[in-house]
Amino acid sequence: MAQITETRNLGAAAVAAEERPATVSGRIVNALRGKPALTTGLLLLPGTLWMLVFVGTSLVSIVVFSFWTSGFTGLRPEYTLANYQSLLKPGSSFWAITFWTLQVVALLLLGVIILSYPVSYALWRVIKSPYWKSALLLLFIVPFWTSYLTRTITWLPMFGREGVVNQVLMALHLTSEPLEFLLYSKFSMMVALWFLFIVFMVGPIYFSMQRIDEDVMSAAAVYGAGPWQTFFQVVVPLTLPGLMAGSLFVVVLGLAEFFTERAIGGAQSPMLAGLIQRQIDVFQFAGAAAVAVSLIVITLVIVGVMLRSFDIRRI
Amino acid sequence: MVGVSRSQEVEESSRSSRGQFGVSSALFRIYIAFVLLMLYFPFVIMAVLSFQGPRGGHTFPLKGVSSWWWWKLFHSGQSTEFSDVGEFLGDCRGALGRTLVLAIAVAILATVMALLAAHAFRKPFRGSNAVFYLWLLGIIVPGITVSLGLFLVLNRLGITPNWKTSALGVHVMWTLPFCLIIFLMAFNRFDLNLEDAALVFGANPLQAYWYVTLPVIQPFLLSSLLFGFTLSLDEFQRSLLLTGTTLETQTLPVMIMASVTTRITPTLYALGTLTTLLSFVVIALYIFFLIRAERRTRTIQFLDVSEE
Repeated sequence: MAQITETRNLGAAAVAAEERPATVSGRIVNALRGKPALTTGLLLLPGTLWMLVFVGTSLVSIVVFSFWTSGFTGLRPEYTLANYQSLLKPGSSFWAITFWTLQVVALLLLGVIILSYPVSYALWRVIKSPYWKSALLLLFIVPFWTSYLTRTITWLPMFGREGVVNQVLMALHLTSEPLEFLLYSKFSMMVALWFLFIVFMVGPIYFSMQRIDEDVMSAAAVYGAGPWQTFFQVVVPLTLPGLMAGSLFVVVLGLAEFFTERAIGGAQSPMLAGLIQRQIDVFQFAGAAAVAVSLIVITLVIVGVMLRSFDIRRI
Repeated sequence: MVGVSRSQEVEESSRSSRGQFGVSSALFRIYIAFVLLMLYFPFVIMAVLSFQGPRGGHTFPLKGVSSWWWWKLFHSGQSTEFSDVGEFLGDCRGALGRTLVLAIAVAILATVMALLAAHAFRKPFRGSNAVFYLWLLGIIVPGITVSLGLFLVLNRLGITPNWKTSALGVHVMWTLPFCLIIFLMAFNRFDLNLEDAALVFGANPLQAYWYVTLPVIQPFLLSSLLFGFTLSLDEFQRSLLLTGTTLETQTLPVMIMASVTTRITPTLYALGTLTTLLSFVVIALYIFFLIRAERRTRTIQFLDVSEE
C-alpha cells in the first residue's frame, strides 16, 4: 500500500515540478541538459581532484625527497644519488629484505588461496540451506569490517613461550617444552597473516562461484567429468575473476604490511614497509623515501601484471 | 583439497554422507568450523585476558581476575597503587572521539564523491581508464609511503599535520576507490529501464533519481558508508605521520600502534575488545538497514513489473 501511495506522490510531484522550474536543482538540471561532456566532467571533478592532490603530492614528494640528503636537522636540498647507491649496492640488506618481502607475499597468497577455496566451495555446494549459507558467509566477512590492528593484536596471546598454542600442546603432552617456531617467529607471523587475510578471499571466490550456471555443472557431469576434473576445468576458470580480485587485495595489502611483523614476527625480519618505518624512526627520511620509491615500483609492476589479465570493474 | 588422504575412510562410511570429491560433507563442515574458530577464537582470548589481574601480563596464565585494566583504560595518567605497572596509553576517550568523528566524516565525503563519479562511469567517456586507474592508486600505493610523502611536503611547507586536515585527506583518498567500486557494482546490476520508465511516466530527472534510482542503489549506499567508516576507523599506516605529533591530536589506531612498539599490557586488550564491540554494533546496524532496504527494493521492482 505504501508503495502505491509513493507512486502516486511521484506523479503529483512531477506536476508540481512543471509548475515551478525555478528551483536551484531545477536550474542545474536545465543547465546541464544536452551537455553530456560537461556533466561527466562535473561528476568526476570532486573525487578525481581529491585523488590527484593526495596521491599526486605523496608520489611526487617521495620521488623528489629520495634524492635529497638526510641531515641531523631534517632534509637538506642537496641532490644526491647516495640514497640509491647505498640501497642498491651488491650485498646491501635491501636485496635480502626485498627478496624476503616477495617470499612472504607469495607464501601469504598461496596459503590464503588454499585455505579459502574449500571454505567458499563448501558454502556454495555443501551447505544447502539458504539461511545457513548467508549466515556463514556473513561470519566470514564480518572480521573484514573490524579493526585489522586489533585483529593482529588478538594473535599476541596465541604465540610466545606462554602462548595459548604452546600451552595447549603441552597440556596434551604433544611436547614437553614450548616449541621454538611458535614463539614470536616468522612462522607465527605467517599463521597470523593467513588468518588475517583470509577474509579478503572467501567472499570474492564465493561470489563468482554463485554466478556459475547450474546447467554448466550438470553438463560437466553428463559428459562424464569427475569431481576433480570439473573443479579444475570448470569451477576454477569460472572463479578466476573472484580469485584475482581477492589476490589483488592480498598482494597490495601484503606488500604494505609491517605491523604484523613488528607485533607477532618478533621484529627481527622486517619487510620493505617495515624497513621504511624503521628508517623513519631514526629520522633517515631520505633513505626512507628511496626505499618507498622501490616499494611503490615493485607494487605497481606486480599489480600492473595482475590487472592486465582481468578487469576489476567487471566484478 | 582438504581430504584427499581421508577419502579412504569416507569410502567405508555410509554412502549417503558422501558429498563432493568423495569427501564427506561432514568434513567440509568441520573445516568451516575450524576456520571460523581461527577467526573468532583470538577475539575471545583477548577479551578474557583484558580481565587479567593487576600483576598479570599480556599472556596467560591469568594472575587473578580484575577490571583493573578496563579502569586504567578510562583513567590514564592517574597514579595508583599499581603505578609501577607502567602507563603508556594516552587519553583514550579523546582519541576514540576523534577517531569516530573522522570516520563519520570520511564515510560521508567518500560516499558522496564516489557516487557522483560512479554516475559518470555509467556512460563510456574518453579517458575513463586513466581516471579509474588514478582512483585505484589510492588502494595500490602502500599506506606508509603516502604517510611519508605527505608528511615531508607538509614539513617543508611548515604546516603541522592534524587529524582534521591531513589525516582526513589521506583517509578519504584511501576509501574513495573502495566506494567507487561498490557503486560501479551497483550500476552493473542496475536496470536502466527503471529510470526510463519513471521518465516516461512524467517524472523529471531529479524525481526519477530520488524515487527510483536512490531506493534501488540504497543497499550499495549503505555498504559504501560502512566501508568508509570501518576503513577509516582502523587506518594507521596513512595516519602514522599525519595525525600530528601531540597526544591531543592522535587517533586511536596511531595510539595502539605506538603502544605495541613500546610496551604491551592488558589495557591494550581492553581497548581492542572495546573497539571490536563497537565494530559489531556498527555492522549490526548496517545489516539491519540493509535488510530493510532490500525489502523495499524488492517491492519497487515488483511494482515495476505489475504496472506493465
